[in-house]
Amino acid sequence: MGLLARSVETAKVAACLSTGWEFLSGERNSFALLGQTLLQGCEAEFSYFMPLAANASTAVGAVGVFIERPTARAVAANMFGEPPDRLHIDSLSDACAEACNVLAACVVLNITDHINITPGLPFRADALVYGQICRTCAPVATYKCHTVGGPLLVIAYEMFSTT
Amino acid sequence: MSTTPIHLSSPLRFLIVDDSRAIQAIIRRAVSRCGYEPIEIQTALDGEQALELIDTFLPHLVITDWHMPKLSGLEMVQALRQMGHHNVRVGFVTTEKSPTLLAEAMSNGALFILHKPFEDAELVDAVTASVLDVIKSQAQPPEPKALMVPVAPESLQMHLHNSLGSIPFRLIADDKMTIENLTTNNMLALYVVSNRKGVFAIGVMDTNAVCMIGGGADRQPPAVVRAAMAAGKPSDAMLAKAQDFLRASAACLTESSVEPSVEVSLAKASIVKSTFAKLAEILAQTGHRSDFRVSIPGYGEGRLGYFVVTP
Repeated sequence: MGLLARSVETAKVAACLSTGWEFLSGERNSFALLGQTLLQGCEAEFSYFMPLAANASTAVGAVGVFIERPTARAVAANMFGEPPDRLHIDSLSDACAEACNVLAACVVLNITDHINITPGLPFRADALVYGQICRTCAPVATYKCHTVGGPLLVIAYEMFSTT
Repeated sequence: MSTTPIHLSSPLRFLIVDDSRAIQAIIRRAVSRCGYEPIEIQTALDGEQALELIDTFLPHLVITDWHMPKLSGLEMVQALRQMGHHNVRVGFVTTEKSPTLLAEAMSNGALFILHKPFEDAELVDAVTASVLDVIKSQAQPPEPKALMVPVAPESLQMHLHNSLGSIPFRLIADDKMTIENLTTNNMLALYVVSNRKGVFAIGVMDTNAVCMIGGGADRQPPAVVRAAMAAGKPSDAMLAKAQDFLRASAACLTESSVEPSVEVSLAKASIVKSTFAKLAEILAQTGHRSDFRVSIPGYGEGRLGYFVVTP
């Protein structure tokens, strides 16, 4: 079992994700832990990753947040305070990047074992980048919630080199 | 959250620094709900942009994210201090929870560190506490509403509607009623308040307004009302209904009063000539008055006004 796999307090993460999602979207939804299943092809239109490093420099994994367009519209509308049909695609991307930031923090904040995990900046992953992540990392926890716009996935990944 | 705006002598300036425009929007909304007027908000997408803005914008409070491209929030604050801006107030809104880093932020003078996700009220409280000294030095006592606008148009509109029923009318906030544009016979209403001696306010309806509002409330035909207006002589029924309207509109003065326990009531309403000195003096007062023109299709136009008597 890897560094992250044994250090993430999964129940606390799920509760934190619900709070974080409510802040972002205004919706109250529960996140459920699905287990360590590698969800190949789970990349969504808005797939964002937050890289994680240990002791500020060593890459240890990432948190992926997968949001489909209807959910992206809903969350962006809440954050920007504008009707969904008036939002530009850039606003959807902006809101999803921030969703990744807030939701990834739920994972980082609930890592025990006194590991100093430093989050980076969220980035959008296309299919190629997502493929690379899947080849170099293993999912250690997958959380899912059903939003009004469809399913939303948050996956914590750990690099194979640390396992 | 404050519902009564705190009026300041100059704008309270906020600089929001976050690489997410969505979070900027959330913070902007919360800051706007703090209840300060006027405020100015500028935004920056990273620490570098923020430093460029600070010299010219001179914010009272910088609300910044931590993790941003180019220059992080902490690096920005450190640079700010090195540039000599020791008094610029800074607060963080972040997901960062590392005790070492947070301690470093505090040692650089951060006034608050609010963690995402947060409630709007938490940010409002943090902002309020951070700018308290500015507010104390700049806050102006609110102008008493009753003295500025003794009768709100919306409120008078409602009372007119109650009197006139389905008769269509327009109430227009008008130029000042003057002794020159007043008709010969006018209805003067004296308003008093429960806890004070003397006259609190005066209401004036010119002849046309008495005929139109009184006649309309009595459901008299337009021709009869127009005839009374032309003669400058409202009927007894018109007078009685006009008095009823003036009595009911005391509620408008009560609503606008800054003193919550004050209840304004009509003491007397009667027809007077427009030529006596006290009326001229009242109509000449520059503030503490509400002037209206009322227009009823088929009837015509009239004027009415409310004047708070200043000691």
